[in-house]
Formats: sequence, C-alpha cells, structure tokens
Amino acid sequence: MIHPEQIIEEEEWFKSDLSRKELKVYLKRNNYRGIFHVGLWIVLLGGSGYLAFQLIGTPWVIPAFLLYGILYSSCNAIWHECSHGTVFKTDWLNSFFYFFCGAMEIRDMVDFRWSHSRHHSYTLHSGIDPEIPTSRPPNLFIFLLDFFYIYNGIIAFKNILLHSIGIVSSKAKAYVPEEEYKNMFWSARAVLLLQLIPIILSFVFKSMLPVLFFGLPRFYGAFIQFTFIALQHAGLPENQWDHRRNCRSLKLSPIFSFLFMNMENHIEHHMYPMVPFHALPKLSKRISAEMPSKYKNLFGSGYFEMFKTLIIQKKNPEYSIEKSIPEAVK
Amino acid sequence: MNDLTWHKVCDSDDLEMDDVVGYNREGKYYALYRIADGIFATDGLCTHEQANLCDGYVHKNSIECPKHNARFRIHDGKVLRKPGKEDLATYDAKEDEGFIWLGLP
Repeated sequence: MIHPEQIIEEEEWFKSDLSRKELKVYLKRNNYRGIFHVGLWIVLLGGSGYLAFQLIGTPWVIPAFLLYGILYSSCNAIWHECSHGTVFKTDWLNSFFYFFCGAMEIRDMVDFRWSHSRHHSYTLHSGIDPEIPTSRPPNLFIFLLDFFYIYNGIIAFKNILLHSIGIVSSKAKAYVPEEEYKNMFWSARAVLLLQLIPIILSFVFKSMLPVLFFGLPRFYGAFIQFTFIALQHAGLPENQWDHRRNCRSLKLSPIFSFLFMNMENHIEHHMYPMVPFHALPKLSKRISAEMPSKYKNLFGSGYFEMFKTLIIQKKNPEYSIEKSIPEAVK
Repeated sequence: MNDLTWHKVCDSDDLEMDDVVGYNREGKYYALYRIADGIFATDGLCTHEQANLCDGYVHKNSIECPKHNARFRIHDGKVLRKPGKEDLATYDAKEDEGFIWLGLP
C-alpha cells in the first residue's frame, strides 16, 4: 500500500483569502436543500420512467428512455456529494443515498470512499491519485468508450465481483487500508445483490424492462454526466499544488447545474470540499477574484480545449494546458 | 489537575459557540472547541492524513475533518466516521478571566 503522506507534504495547496468566519457560513448544512434536490430528482426520474413505460410501442420511447438514462446517471453527482457528507444535515440520509446511488452505477462504495479521499489530498499527482481521468499518453479509445460508461463500468463490475468473493482488486490494494477489506467485501455483495435483482427479473419475465430501468440507464444515459466528469480534470497539468491549475470550473445552465449538483464549481469544491453543493455558487462568487475565468457551457471552449489537449498528449505526453491565473494572487 | 501547566490560547471572544480554534506548541497541534457542554481540547490533526482540524466543521458535538469528512467526538476524541483512523487524544481546557486555556501535563 502506498503511503503518500510519507512522500509529500499535505499543506502545500493554494487556499483563497477567506476568513474562518466567512467559511463557517458556507459550511452550514441544510436538510431542506438536500431533501428538495434529491426529492425533485426522484420525482423527475420516476416521471420520466413512467413516461418511457407509457410510450413503449411508439418511436417516442427512445427519447423518453434517453431522458430517463440522463436523469438516472445523475446518481453519480448525488453519491459523490453524499460521500462528502454535505447533502443533508442528517447523516444517515447521506449514508443511505451514498450507498444506494453508488449501487445504481455498480460502485463499491467502501473502495470509493478511500479512493476519493486520496483524490482530494493529492489531486492529479501522478502515481498517487487513483482518479486521474486519462493516462499519459491518453488512450482515446478508452476515453470515448466511457461516454457510455463502458470501460469504467466494466472495471467497476469486475471489482464488485472480485470484492464480493473476498479478493481485493489491485487498484483497491493501493489505497484501501487492510482493516477496511471486510467492510469492502460486504458492501460489494450488497451492490451485486441490488444489481442482480433486475437481471433475474428480466429472465423471469423474459423482458428487458427491469434492466432498462435499473443498471443499464447508467450506460445508455451516461454521456452528459461523463462529459462533465471528464471536463473536471482531463488535459490539465499533473503534480501541481494549486487546484486552480488542475481543475476546471464551468458556467452552466440551471438544468446542468441541477444534474451535476453545482459541481461545475469544481476548483471551489476541491479548495473547500466540505462546503455543501447549495453554497458552492455563493462561495464561487466570493472568491472569484482569485480564480481563473470559468469555461462557458458544457460543450463549449473547455470541451474543445480538452479534446485538443488529449490529441496533442498522444504525441507529447508532457503537454498540458496552462491556465491563466489572476496575477495578484499567484 | 494540579500538575497541569495552563497555556493561554486566545481571547474568549475568539472562540464562538460551536466552533474550533487551533493552537501550536512545541511542534504539536491542538484543537480547542466551544460547544454547549463547555470548552474542550483534542489533538489538532486528523488521524487519517493529518489535516488541521481547526479548519474543520463543528457539528453536533463532533469535529469534522476539513479534507475528507472524518468525524471525531469532541468530548472524548472517539472516531465517529471513516476515514478517521485512531481516536484523538483529549486534553484539559477551560475558560477563565476572558481567555481560553489549554492544560498540558
């Protein structure tokens, strides 16, 4: 197991000029905001699922299922934010949705807790951060597969299978402490059970519908969520101690902000990971003078910059984007 | 109690209700808290990856690590949530004459 804390110093990250008093206001948890967001998501997911079911037999069933898949894939944003314990003030709600939304996309949630902790401590530090989105040089074929969660989905499923039979995946060995293995195995078994239910129902009823409603939507509806996830870090420089250089913040429409739980404020999220999703836009405004300008739109300049950089990195793995940082606070 | 040496940490006004303040002495980090039950002190670094707990969030008599939301009970330093590893050591603390004090052996 790697012990990065023995290699590098933790407290080197750039922090904005925000007083403790101000930060405390942003840190406040709020059950109502969490319940409203997750409740609305459940209603929209249920509504789009009902619509898709009603439209079976018509050509409109395809866009209806696509809408359902896009909403379903937003489970990614919910479990991510719940992993920080900041969606709800009531902690068991964070734990419940962390596990359930993770299971919706075949994730071992014990594995992820430790992986994501390391991602935040050593964001884009090569050889230590397990969540660097692309290798150097990047494999564009694998990258494109993940627009439909094919590569990472298969890896996630393989890890769930291994962990459910008590074998630790090579990836998890690098960051999950041994005393957590038992919990990880049980978590994987629970996810596997949840994923098996619709598969069994599909066989029993000789119908694709159960898996089209649970499990598969994370694949056929993944492209919007993956575009957003890729934009967070892909193509940006490794081994930097400044989240302004190795994360992207975007300016998005309210619909995308809802689907991503305001995580488009990604520099701000990495700088202050305990600030809840509903406070991120305000925090972002407050520290904007110290931040690079935000990329506009999901499929805008950042998207083209990311692809251009990945193509250049194929030939020159050392190449990365140098963002413009406000002079006064470099 | 009589064998403790009391160190002045900050003015009383600098530690609000449900908040934490950091204190460094001889290379060691401490965190002092004001909660409804009184003034408390623990080790100042998270037992997961040594993040400074004085940057964390006081929530229902617990301190949450600013990095990965490990949580420790303020009264006795017990780990309440992963990725916290070992419990935090606790120390004597008090409020007296308008100041917050940390008692060390």
